[in-house]
Amino acid sequence: MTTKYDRIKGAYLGCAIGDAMGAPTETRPTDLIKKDVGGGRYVKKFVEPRPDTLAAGQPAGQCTDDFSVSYLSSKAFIEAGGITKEAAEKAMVEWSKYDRYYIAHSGPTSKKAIALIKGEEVDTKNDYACCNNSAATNGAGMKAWVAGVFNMGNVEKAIEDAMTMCKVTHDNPVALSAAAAVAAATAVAMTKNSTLDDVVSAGLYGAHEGYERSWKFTKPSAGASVEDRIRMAVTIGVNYANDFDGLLKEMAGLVGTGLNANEAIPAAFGFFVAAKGKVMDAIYMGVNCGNDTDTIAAITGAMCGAYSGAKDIPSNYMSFLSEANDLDIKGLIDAVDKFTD
Amino acid sequence: MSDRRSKILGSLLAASVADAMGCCTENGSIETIKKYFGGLCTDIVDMPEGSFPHGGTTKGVVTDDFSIAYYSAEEFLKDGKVSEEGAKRAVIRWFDEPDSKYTRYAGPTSRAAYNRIKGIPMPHTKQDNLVTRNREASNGAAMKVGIIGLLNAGNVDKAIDEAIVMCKVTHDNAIALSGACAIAAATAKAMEERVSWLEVVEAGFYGAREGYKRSVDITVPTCGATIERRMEYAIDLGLQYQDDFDEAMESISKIIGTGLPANEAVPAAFGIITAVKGDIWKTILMAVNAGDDTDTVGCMAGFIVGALEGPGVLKDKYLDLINRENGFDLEKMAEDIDTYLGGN
Repeated sequence: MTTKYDRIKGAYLGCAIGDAMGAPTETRPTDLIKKDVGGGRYVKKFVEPRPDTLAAGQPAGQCTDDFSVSYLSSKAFIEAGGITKEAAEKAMVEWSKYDRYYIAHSGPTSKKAIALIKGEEVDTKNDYACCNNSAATNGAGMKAWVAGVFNMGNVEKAIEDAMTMCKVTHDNPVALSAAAAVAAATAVAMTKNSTLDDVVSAGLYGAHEGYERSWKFTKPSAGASVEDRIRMAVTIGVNYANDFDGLLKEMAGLVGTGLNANEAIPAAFGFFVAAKGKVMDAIYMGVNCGNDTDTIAAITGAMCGAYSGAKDIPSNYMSFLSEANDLDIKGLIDAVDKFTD
Repeated sequence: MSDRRSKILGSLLAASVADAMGCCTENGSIETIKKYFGGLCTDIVDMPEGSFPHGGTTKGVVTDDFSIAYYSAEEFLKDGKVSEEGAKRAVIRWFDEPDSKYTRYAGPTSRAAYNRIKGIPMPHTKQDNLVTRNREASNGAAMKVGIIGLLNAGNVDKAIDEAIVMCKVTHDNAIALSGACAIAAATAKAMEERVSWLEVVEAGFYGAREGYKRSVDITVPTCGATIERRMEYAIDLGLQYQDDFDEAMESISKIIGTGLPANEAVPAAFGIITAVKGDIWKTILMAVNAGDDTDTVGCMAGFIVGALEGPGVLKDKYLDLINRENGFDLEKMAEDIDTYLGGN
């Protein structure tokens, strides 16, 4: 039987593995991932990033923003006794002190938000526009699974906490819709008798509710619907579950696998379904799908880990990743387990 | 006026009207636009200072979309041919114009291209080390390329080749160019006699596919959703809601998206044309009210449906306004393009 501890471990490791394995493939399309990074094959292990990547200069196994922000946010929430705005802000400021993550991997939306929290000057020349469309990025969804782990089985609280946590950086209903989708899906994935359908349904509900609720407090935004695109991605996931090449081509070609919240998060759901919740299978899909590979692999890895636990994750990955990132991953997993008792 | 010249004028006019009207709604979501205008935006209006979204604009002034197209056409007509040099000259003239009404709308990719052409050094960013330029898969190529369809009326294949020549100057990216070729090919096809929106959409598919194929090996590598695949989906939605304006607009906006990326704006334009069967006024209305990059979607779709139908009611209503506010002479340009095409 998969225990709660095992699911927490699966979620944190799933995120870390997806992030670290995807860092060397990020920004490339699938054919160049195979050709340049995988030596003619799909990438299924940790490799040292090439000089022509955002992760250039990092050792194999080092994560980017996806896991490191999630890690520091989790720590801050435990310290604060729950998910609060203050703790979320503190975690982002703390994160910006980690040169190895912040310098190469801070996304456009988070970077501006951190500067605002710190009271620094920011570029406001586009702030006159009524809508904040350029903030509809995946940096909210990448960390929002944490709100699902902290609220296992409680979809409503997961959605609220995801918005509390993510509006600190992403004042945008499309980005928060994606965050609420990931949090709601993860909250259900953490429960022991949930099915794939339960997780997807929770994700669609979260996307819908996150969008509706966040309109009341965020700056407005245009942008394609995360909810509708999750449906599209899940259809592709079901259709191509047994065709790895076709799955990647169709997901990248139609849904898209880029920086935008309405591409990356739907793709993560599509891979969750195609992999039937198996952690490593889903991560391989994310790592090789092209574009924002590390974020998609990190999110789908976290959701699958919450669903399936850590049993299929190679046992040496925990110590390898902890060392490569100089982070106490096991210590955090223990702390989250205790906190959620 | 000959039929051909009338079709050319229709194309120029529909593109410029949609651009000027879209300037009033750009960046808004469907909901915020409805709220501001108390329903659909159905006319070109002044936007008061500070108002949503481009405050302080005078009605009738177009944005970057049609103005770059117009400047480019002037260069090509002067040279008697489409060339990389002509395209570059147009970009430089457009950016360098003193007191320009248009440069405030300049997109990120076109601005970077201008700096590159002029040899203006840009601050080094971490993006510069990458093998791909995924952010350059934007709609700034497709927005201006309708003009290439007019200069190649009826010649879809040549329109595709020349779309690449013109747009590669700013958009060295196979997804952006695939989108541009789709619009150029569809506009070229729409210039033929006895064609409907169906043949035009088919030519757009051909352009998207061929444009990608012909540019992928001569451009910086890129990844992103494909124009072709999203076009299929957008057209499917357009067909599904062909008799339901609101449903068509909302579903295209929600599922395909109408934003800055070429793989949203271009498929959306074809979805809209399909939904209204190429009707010129309904195309403009739907594009202008669909949210996000409304003026660009409208300008691209306008080039196509204007060529299909001719100027119709737009002439009396808007020709003087557009000419006056922008210092254009669209009738003269239509005449020059007609002469450039020869024959007839």
